[in-house]
Amino acid sequence: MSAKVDSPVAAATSASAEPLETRQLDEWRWLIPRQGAMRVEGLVFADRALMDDIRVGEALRQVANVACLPGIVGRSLAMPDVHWGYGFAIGGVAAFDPALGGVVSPGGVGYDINCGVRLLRSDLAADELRPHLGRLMDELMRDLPAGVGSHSDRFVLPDGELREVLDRGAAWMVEHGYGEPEDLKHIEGGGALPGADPDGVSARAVERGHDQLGTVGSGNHFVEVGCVDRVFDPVAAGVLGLAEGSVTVLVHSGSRGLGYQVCDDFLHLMLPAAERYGIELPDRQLACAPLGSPEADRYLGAMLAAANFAFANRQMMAHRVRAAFARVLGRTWKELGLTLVYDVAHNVAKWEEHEVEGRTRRLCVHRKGATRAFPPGHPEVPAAYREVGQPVLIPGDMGRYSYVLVGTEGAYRETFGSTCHGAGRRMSRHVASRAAAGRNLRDEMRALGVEVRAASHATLAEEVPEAYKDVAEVVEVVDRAGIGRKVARLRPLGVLKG
Amino acid sequence: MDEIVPGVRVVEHTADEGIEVEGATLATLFRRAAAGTLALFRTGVPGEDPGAHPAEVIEVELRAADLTSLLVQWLREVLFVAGTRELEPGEVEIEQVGDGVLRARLHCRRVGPGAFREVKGVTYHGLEVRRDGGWHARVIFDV
Repeated sequence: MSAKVDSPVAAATSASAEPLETRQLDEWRWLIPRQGAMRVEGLVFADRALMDDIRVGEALRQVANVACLPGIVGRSLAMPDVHWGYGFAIGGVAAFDPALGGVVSPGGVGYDINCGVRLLRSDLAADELRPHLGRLMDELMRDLPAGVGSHSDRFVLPDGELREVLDRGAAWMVEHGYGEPEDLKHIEGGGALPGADPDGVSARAVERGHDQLGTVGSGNHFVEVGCVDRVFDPVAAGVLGLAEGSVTVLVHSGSRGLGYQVCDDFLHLMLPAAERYGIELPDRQLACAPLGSPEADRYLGAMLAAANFAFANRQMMAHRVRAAFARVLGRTWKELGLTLVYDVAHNVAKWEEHEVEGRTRRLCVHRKGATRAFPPGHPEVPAAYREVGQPVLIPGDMGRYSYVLVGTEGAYRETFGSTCHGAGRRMSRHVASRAAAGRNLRDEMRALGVEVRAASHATLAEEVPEAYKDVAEVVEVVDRAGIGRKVARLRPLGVLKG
Repeated sequence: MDEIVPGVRVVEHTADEGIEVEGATLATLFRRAAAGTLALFRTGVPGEDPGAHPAEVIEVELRAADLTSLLVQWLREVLFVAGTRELEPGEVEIEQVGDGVLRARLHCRRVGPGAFREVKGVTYHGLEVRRDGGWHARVIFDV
């Protein structure tokens, strides 16, 4: 997940300054009718207040730009946390049909490939953890390298094994003792997406990322120890193992430098490719190639390999979290019941089957800052959760709360099985840093009951809670619109930032 | 906004970070763009003692379809050398720039990890290289 806010630079350099026509469909839906070169309509999920925010910058124009790409089917979609991104808006979903000349675009996935979230639950009560929290956070800070250029001194991938990690993702970690087979059942795609091509990942990408497995990184990435603060759906919460007052852990990171480089490499390759295939780009960051072309195949292979690297990264991080809990609490992680609820990708493009105009088609679904949210009964939903739907993990800012939802039939019908992914920034990093200047954020957070550890004060300042929208407003929209269903709210107790 | 290095201003009031660069010649523009990018992302974490390692010279040769792509490639190269290889380019010699080719030499000193912030990529967003008397460029980074 990458968070950007609407940018005056974007406004100044937009391909078109014409205001976009929008039409309110109901309390939660806004249509962008076909206009200009749009091949399909755009659809934004938002209430009036969020829509007022969304209108300010370039996000709507970006949703419309995506609707201009060849082979797009259904609608170009925007979740309520949509905000300006590079090319594609963050919070956007778009599906492309190869039979209609559909494309794949690195900008539709973003730089942080498979940036995502993993949730662990436990049988430990928050009150029981409280006296040990400071020590636990210190141990996490030591064991999970965070911050700029963070790399792991403690874990060196054996020679030649990286391509195995790129191919098998979290499964490689489990086979090497970092977790257990049961974990893999609770990861999107089993923690290893098919079609990965380790050879498509450049030497430079490998050099940037090879020593970053098990690291947090910087920006909005974090590890958050929290507890279940409120349960909205007791049945679903019971199925997911979330009891009110019990301790949880959220891990938010991605493919680190390796994924950034894959995106950068292929953006560069796709620009001339788009020209060669005669694709007109409303924005160069939308560079793309037709599905089935050698360029598209190479990108998909490398991107999926980076996605697997990210699953492996979060698997390693969760393993270290479990080890730290066990040391501090003096009980094994199994005794603590510290099991994996789910792990979802927020930035990825995948082949999926969806019904469009009465026909099931194989589509390349791009989610950039959006979460897959498959309904109850879908075969991709883990067996243990099949009755309630796929868990969806929505982190908020570090001071307030995060949400656990489940996927719905509504999402499957209307958004290619997708929903929101987070709060979305309301302040730029610069503005946030200025707002935080001269404040002792650690003390402020402690007063809110949150123990913070951060590798750098600069990152902490950029991530000050008021820099984000209230994630509750975003979640309310997807719940009311029926593209996600609220299960529980989590409250932070301790946060580790880059 | 003041210059961070001669001929380079930070693009302010944006979500992300960028630079605007001026130079009398294309070579000056590219040299300053590299210096400005490094200044923008330097963390202030002290590097290693410059005397501890001999200086390293890196030869760069890039090709691209147009000047804007060439600038993006150039800055990607500079950031890779600084951020991943942990070699900070001090003196930058531009030997040739134009007609889709850039040849340069980077005289680098070794720095420690964390000397530069992590930059996800050099974007094509709002990218500009134009001639208006002298040369002007604008580049936005995803951080």
